[in-house]
Amino acid sequence: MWIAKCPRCGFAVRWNPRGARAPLRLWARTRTLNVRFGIALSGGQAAGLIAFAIGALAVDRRHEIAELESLGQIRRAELLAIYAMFAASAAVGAAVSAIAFAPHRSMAVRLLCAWLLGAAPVTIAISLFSLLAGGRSSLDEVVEALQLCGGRIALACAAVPLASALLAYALAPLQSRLTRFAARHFRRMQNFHTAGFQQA
Amino acid sequence: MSTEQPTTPPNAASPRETLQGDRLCMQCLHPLVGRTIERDAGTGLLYVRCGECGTASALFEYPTATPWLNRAKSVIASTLAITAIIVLLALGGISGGFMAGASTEACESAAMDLSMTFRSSLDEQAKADTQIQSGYWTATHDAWLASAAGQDAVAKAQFSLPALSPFILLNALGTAIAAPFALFIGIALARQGPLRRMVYTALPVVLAAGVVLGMLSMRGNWIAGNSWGQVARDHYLMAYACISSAWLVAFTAATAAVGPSIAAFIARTILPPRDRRLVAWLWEWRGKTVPRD
Repeated sequence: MWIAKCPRCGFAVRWNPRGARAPLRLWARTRTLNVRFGIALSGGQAAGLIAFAIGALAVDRRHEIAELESLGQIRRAELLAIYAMFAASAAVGAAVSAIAFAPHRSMAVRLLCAWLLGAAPVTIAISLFSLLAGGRSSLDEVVEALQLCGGRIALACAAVPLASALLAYALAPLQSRLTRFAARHFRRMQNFHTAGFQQA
Repeated sequence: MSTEQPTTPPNAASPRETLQGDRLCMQCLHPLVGRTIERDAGTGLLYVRCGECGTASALFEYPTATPWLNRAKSVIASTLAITAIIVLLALGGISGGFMAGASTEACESAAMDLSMTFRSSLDEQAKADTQIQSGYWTATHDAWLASAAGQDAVAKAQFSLPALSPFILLNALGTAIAAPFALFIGIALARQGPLRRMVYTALPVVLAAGVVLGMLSMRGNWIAGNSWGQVARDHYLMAYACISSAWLVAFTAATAAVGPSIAAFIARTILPPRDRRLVAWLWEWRGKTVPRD
């Protein structure tokens, strides 16, 4: 049994610290999970959106990708720079998503969560809508792109998850240190604010 | 000398308690200290009556929240019921819409494919004849259709790539959109057995399929004509609609059956063990314990 005494007026109440904090702990944990899932899903969905943009870019520029070696230097650099920009954005989104997803799991599972739960539904839904809106001509374009430069497109698409995996493995230690720092800081602040309570 | 005692009412004879401590009237905030504690004959509740406004205040609680709690229960229950009805209607509407859309789109593509096959079978002189054209709404060539080549083309056009592409795409899109609704219903019915979950979830899809098949069969009778589109509708429409209906019914039923397991698997994957108590109902509703690994 604890008795909490107000340091100013001396008013005393019965106090069960764990019981009294239970609703706050539940609220704080729910809020933490909500924020974490928000970041995880948003990052994954952004990665899915950009992955779709990369696919659309590849289909649109299929003739240039097929003849990449014979393109002018400026045109080639421009094309690769645009791809790199999209790929880097998707990789960062997926890596952030993977770090936020399921911190108690291995990084491989977290990456799978990021790509399967966050990115894949968005990419599939937008791709289906686009193919339907474009009709048969869009489907023919996709088939033509796969015939012209399917290998290169597959390589370009596979590079994004690979880059996200490398980024996630590189950023995970930094994220864990930041988390520990934030938890330590919060604990110190909490101890500072509850220092007036004494056990009777 | 009389020995009779004066008759007094029993309440007046027994000493009565008075309220001690700080308590205010809920009506006028007048202090109730010193007021006589009385017992309500109907409910047995102890109460004191305010000396200023005469309002009775219960001693054990101020029961002001109870009506609001009852109203909140009604609001929550009606919200859940309305949500369930909307989800069921949405699932039926999505399924029916995509069934009809996929079937008619596939028929149009098959009709175009059929007419193009007919056109490619003509020689150059006949192709130049403006009386003979090919298209969805143009008239068919009955003699060619009755020939062996025509019958072969009719048989092949049903499962040709141009006809199957929109059919598969539209069914895939309908499946993708219906999946969250079927999962939601499956999870909401997690207390029921798998068979009952499947039946309840597939019911709106089956009803939608019945409506769509009925409408398509009537439409075939309404729009009569001698066009490639009519040929395609006569030969393929009901088959496409039946395939689409069967797929969507089977998919939604299967999704509802495994929905709680999928949700539990995802929760187990992404939630640490100590946080799984937040969604413990995912396991407890199915008579299982919350996994700790």
